[in-house]
Amino acid sequence: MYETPLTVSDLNSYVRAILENDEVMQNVYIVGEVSNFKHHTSGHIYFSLKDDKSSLKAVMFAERSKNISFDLSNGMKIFAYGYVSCYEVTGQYQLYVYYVSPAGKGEISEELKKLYDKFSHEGLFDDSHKKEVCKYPRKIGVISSKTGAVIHDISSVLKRRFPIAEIVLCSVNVQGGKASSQIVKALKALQEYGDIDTIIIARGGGSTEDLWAFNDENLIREIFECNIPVISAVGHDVDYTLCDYVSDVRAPTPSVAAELSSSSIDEIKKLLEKYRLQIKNHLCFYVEKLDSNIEILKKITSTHNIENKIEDLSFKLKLCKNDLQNNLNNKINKYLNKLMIIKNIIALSSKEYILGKGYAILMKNGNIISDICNLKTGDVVTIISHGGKIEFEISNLKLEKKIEE
Amino acid sequence: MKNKLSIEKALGELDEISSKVELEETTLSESIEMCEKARILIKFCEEEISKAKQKITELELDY
Repeated sequence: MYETPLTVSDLNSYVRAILENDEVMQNVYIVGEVSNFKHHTSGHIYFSLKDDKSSLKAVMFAERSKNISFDLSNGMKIFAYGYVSCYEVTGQYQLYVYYVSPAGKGEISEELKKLYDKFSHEGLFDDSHKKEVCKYPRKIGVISSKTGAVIHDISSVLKRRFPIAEIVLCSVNVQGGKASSQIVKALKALQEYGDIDTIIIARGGGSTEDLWAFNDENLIREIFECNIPVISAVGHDVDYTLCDYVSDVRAPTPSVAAELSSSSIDEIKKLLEKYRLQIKNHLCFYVEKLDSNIEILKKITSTHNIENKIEDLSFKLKLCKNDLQNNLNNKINKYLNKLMIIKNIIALSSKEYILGKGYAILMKNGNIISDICNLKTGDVVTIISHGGKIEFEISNLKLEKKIEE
Repeated sequence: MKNKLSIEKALGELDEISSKVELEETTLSESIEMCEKARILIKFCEEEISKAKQKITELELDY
């Protein structure tokens, strides 16, 4: 028997401590039908979750309940994620809910459609926001579970195809209540990591409920804001989550995601070989052209051509000299001819020429007598003719008058 | 003049002088003056041609 009885408070406190220190109780993911639903004016939501045998009280405080994107009501089957604790005052243990989502197919589709419409209206899915994926990545961030086939498939493809890319794995839960918040944290961490060229968010196939974390609003918005291109490879080819729509590229499988995030080394080698041949051909053509030009220039600048030019110039110089000489000679000859003519004219007017013709000049006292009326008897006169001169005195002057015609 | 003058330009000037001398309007003294200038140009051309021939000989040796 017990020595000291516990108080009620002690017991309730003890129960609470047990619950809050239990890992399972702190991460409860539960499915049940909503009943006794109450939406308090404070924003807190109080309800019960039940199945065909049991029920559990639950509360979702206002800061969490404002994120509910569907109409939570009695009769609705939901998933709820949260922790279990004991309200010491009443000794009642209950589920403190972080997150709820519809569990029924119809509800899920309805909520998914609502979310899709909401984000689509905001433009989160627009092609204009899609970023181009790097073809030659140095580092690829992979957000996925560290166990399972997904990371293995991605690694195999990259190792074969583009082995120089480094994979940076962020291991997360890929389903359940914690999944979306962990993926959001991983996205932030990869953006801060530095040098990450591409991010792949990947998980294998599953039910709509399994994949529900990839429709989480916070996750969708984080992917939209991410400054690194994101490839979504969630589920199988036929599975579509909102993560697929908001990401920059959607891949039907993780292997395809790895292919889309890289280039094939073999293809790169082929491309380089093609460029090498093109460069080689261009160079060969260029060198041949240069060779040909050099040959032409050699011919143009050969000494034979220059000798021809010198000969040509020499000949032109000779012609110039001849022309100049001829023109100068002609000019001088013209002047000489003119001079000759003038000389002749002068010669014809000269005294010697006239005397030579038999004419004589009559002079008295050194003056030429042009009119014999100026003479009288006794004058001493000189007659100058071609042969010499005669000086005499006039003894008997007879004037005969000139006959007027 | 000689520094900037080329043989082709000199030949051109000689042609010009030759034509001017031929003209009636050009006086004898002007013609003689121009021929003096022509004499200098001819001498320049002959020297240039001689230098070019010398250079050709050197180039042929190099080839």
